[in-house]
Amino acid sequence: MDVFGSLAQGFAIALTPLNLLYGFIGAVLGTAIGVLPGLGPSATIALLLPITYKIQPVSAVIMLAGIYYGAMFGGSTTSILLNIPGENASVVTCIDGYQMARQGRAGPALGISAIGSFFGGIISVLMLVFIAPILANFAIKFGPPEYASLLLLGLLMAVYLSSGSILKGLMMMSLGVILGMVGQDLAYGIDRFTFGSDRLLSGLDFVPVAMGLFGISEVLLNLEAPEVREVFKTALKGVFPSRDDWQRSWAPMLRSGFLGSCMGVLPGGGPIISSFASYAIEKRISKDPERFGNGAIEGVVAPETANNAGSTSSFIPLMTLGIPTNAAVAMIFVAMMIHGIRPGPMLLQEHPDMFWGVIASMFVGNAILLALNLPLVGIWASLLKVPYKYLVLVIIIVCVIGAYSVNYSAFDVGTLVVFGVFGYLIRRSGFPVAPLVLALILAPKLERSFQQSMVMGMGSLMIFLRRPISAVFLIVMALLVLKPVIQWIWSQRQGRGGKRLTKSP
Amino acid sequence: MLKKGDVLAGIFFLIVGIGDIIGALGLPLGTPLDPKPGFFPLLAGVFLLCLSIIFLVRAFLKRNTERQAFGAVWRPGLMIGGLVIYTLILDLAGYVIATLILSLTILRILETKRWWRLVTISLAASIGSYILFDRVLGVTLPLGILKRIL
Repeated sequence: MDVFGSLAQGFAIALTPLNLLYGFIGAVLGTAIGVLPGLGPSATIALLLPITYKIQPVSAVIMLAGIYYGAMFGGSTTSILLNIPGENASVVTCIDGYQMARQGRAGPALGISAIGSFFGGIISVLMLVFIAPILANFAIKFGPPEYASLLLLGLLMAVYLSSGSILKGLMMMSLGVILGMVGQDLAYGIDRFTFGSDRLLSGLDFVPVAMGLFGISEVLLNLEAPEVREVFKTALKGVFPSRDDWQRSWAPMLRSGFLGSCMGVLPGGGPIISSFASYAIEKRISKDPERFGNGAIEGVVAPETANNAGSTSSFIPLMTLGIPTNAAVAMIFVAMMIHGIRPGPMLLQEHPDMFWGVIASMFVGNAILLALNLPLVGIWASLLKVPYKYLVLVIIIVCVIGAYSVNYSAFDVGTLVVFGVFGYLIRRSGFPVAPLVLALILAPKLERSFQQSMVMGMGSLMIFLRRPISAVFLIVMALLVLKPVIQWIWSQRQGRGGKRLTKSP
Repeated sequence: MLKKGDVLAGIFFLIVGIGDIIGALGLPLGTPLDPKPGFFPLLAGVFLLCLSIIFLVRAFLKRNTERQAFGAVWRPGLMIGGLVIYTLILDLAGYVIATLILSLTILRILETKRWWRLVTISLAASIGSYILFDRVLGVTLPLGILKRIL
């Protein structure tokens, strides 16, 4: 069947009243948590995982995806009105967004953010529609060696491309691999690191671990300094941008939409990097870069378009390769696994309803979000007046019940608390949590495909290099790992020439 | 001035790495070309051990002059205490009572001044969430000692 026929079927699934409802709930929740600082999309999706047990898998993923890109819509509101990012992908939006608000142009800033997000989303979904099936058909030929190389590359890229210390990221990744080994080894029937506990035989449960690492730890971090919020008092008149605004915005919107769509595909990429990169690019190619930082509308529209594009396109590696590239998508990966659906190249063939239904729902969801955010932005802003303590109460109760409901036992509540405290302490020292979660999910798969490759290659590591696709992955990986070395050599050469361009830290 | 958090984190990872290696050595290892269940954990453990040593050395060498911005640690501290107690008493005291205590803790930490407000909201939160999840959504929550009374 051609793409359009499949997409039409997807719309038939996405437009059923029930799925529309779940898409709507996702969009509303996503916008809400996007607006509220101190609760990101990964945490929210983790919190809602237990609730999705009882929902149809397609509806569940439609809702969770809606939360993810909905948060990208909502995040800008807080950045613009409060100068506090609603979530991490809207950090850059603060710079020019808040300036616009101070100049009395909060309305157009909010308006162009919503419109930009919408266009970014649509560009990205279109890319998903046309590229994902090709990629899936390509990846279907992957054998265990390709998978082993790809998984390793994906994990390393997630560490290397994310902001922050690579060393810390690698340490968290290793810990994630170790934690992923807990439980009974299925191939050999040997218990690993279970400490004699039956509870750990099937491995650590993702749900309490993720809720702890994202949800509880976030609350604990925020408790250190519950911020005082002061909404910028301004009459929100006219959210529609002027003709001049449009003229300035349409080109950045297109560029950032494409940039975000491409960056979202990369492991470790996604909305956050996309927003930073697009801002930097717009500033560089601008004819008058000095306007940036002083309320340039391009500085608002670019990151907001890019982050939504980036969030949507991170579904491409998830649905075609089975590789979650960032924490929020990892949670959606877990949601699919809970329902017995394995994301990967077979998804398109085994569960076309999931594949096309979710894609179609993204068109619908983005339209819903535009409608929710453009005229109703004032209502969302008033959400910021809800005291933080009530939010804490809700988060904690949802976490506790969610963890308990996994096996109806207090043991999982204990797991939740342990990982919550661990996440809090480790994030305080600047360690990223995402590599741990990705490794925890991917390590067992990596181990299995490595073992299978060894059987295939009859005990020779050369199998990874003899197969061209796998070899390419390994070469990219080598470049990534050797990048600091290459840079160092480069800087030495530059140094000898009497000029030091880069300095290794 | 050393970054205390970094050193502690480094030591933690070091211990986890060593513990993992010891555990892995107790499992059948196989060879790299025929990996058995202990192989991957050993690999990950050795990797982690090396990384944490590098990390610790760097933490000791890089004398950090800037003080880390510490917020008020007592709030998260109390919250962690509340959560630990919650886990321990959940089965015995039951969901409603345990959540009531936890909710009182949370609201007290976050400065709810008037005591009647504290109690009303906590009662509403614990009983309300019990009714919503247990009765409406069908997530069976433990009743604990309330079971005997009701």
